[in-house]
Amino acid sequence: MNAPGAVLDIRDLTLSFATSKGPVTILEGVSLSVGGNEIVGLVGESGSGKTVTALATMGFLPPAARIESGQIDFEGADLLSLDEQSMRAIRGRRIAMVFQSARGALNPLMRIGDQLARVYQIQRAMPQRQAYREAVDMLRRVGIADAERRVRAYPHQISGGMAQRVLLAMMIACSPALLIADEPTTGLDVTIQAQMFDLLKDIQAQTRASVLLITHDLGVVAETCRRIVVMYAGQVMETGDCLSIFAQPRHPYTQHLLSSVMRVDRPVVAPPVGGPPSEALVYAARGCRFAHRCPIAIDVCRREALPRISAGPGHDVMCHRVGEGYGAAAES
Amino acid sequence: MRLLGLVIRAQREIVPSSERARRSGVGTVRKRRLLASGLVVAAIVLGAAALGPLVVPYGPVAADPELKLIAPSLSHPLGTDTFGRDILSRVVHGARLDLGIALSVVALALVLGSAIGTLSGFYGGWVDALVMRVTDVLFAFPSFILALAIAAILGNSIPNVIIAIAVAYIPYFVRLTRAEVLAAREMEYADAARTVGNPGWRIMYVHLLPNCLTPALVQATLCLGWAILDVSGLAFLGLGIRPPTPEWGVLVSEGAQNIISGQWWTSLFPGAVIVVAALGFNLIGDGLRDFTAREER
Repeated sequence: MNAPGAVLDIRDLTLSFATSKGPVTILEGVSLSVGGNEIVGLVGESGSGKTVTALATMGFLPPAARIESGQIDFEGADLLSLDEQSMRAIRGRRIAMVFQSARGALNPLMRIGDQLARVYQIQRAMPQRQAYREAVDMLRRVGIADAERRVRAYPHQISGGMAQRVLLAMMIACSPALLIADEPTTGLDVTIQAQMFDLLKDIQAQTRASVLLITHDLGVVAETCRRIVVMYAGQVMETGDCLSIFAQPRHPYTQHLLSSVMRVDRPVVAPPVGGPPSEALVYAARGCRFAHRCPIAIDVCRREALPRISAGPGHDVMCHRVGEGYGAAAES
Repeated sequence: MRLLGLVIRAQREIVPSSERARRSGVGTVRKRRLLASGLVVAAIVLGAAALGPLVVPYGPVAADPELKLIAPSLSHPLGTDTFGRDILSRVVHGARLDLGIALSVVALALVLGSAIGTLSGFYGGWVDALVMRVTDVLFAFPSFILALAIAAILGNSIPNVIIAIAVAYIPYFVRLTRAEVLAAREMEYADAARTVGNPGWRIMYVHLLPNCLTPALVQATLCLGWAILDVSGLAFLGLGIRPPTPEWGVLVSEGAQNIISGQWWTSLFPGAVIVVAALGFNLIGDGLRDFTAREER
């Protein structure tokens, strides 16, 4: 599993939040890796722990969070063991993150050019004038027409799509090795979303940075990513090649997730299962968290820790039933 | 009937949004008038402080024993005091001193208070706990009593008065800024600033503080009014600024002894000026508070 040459390698990350009712396990045994020069999609419904995984990588966990076990290896160092000083040296320069709401991620009282130029000033110790020139160039690279004029705009004067481009420009300004994009198109309309993902792919190809793309949009994943990681309620359910997972999803959760995507060429296949993960299950000690919604769950699913079953090259499924051979031949 | 209802609803829909905001909201005409009158008063007081001393006919301490305690007249519109000094001239000169002190007090309290509040809100933990307990202690005393005590300890001089009153006001700015920073540091732009490698002090004072200043600035205008009251109050009690300096509180206190003998003007006019000036800044503060509260919603 320890992928050779991985830029980011999260291993067995278990993390809990302190609440008034006691600690709640938010991530349980999450393992995922992002190789060099690839886009990995991290998918799952709201509350599945996608964003917390990203925040843990950035060192942005809220004070209530506690790492129970696990490692986050990045370029040979365990990020969880670094102090704030060392993390600051890595942030921006080696890892950057595009946030959900671009407009919220820009300081409303600062011109966008100043914000962008400041990245160069901080990270590269560039003089102001040169940093400003770089900023204009970078804005042009992310497809902002009229960049010379736009650098003087304040965030409220630009559109949501443009704000997202500016944020992306800020984040790739110092050519980081890893870019985490946390639902980077939330709140944008569909055509702009498509443009953003095209831009993300272009930028990735140019900079050869690795990208961890967090999203719940499977269509986007299919078009953008090479590998995907499916999460549910803080556990990784299935991980593998985009092609093989879309062609042959093995985990019951992945199957339901994929069949929930509306398509014109077929009726809805699987009936919807259950509701969102219940509050009670985050206190559950071990076992599969999808079990209470899973149509094929058996007792062992609720008791035993998840196994990791290989379902092909680079395709792993965390499911007891798949381990017993369920679905191996039944798939169409 | 049904049709009529639909028409009325449709008409309600097409009322322009600015009109609806004006009708529904806090920014009613009355409130705006109060804000406007506050601004007018403040402008007059500031104008008197800036230009008045060049215009008034007499010096602030020019005494003329021949003309002592004369009632308001054309040559002395507000009358003269026991030493024959022109009260109008003294009041106008006092504007410069009182406003200067009030502005310095508020500037000092705003700068220190918001800086400490930002630190406290940003770092949390024991820093926050310590700062909050100290402000609790300061809040336990009425601000005037606190300023009185500090001024008594520091001794009589203008800088000491400024420090004494500013210390009494700092807790307000600390609390207001801290509350805003607590909310703002959860905003994505704070995370984004960290993501690109900004050090902590830079996130605090370049990114967070400017976005958190609105309530503190409103408080600052309110405090200008209070500061005028406190400065003149201290001087009236003989702390801080002493006679013969033309300060409003000093003027009231000097004139107080003449009231029983019938020379009401020596105290009344300086006192009225204090009230009007303090009221003016308070009206501005109140008006701005409603205004910004609506803007931020």
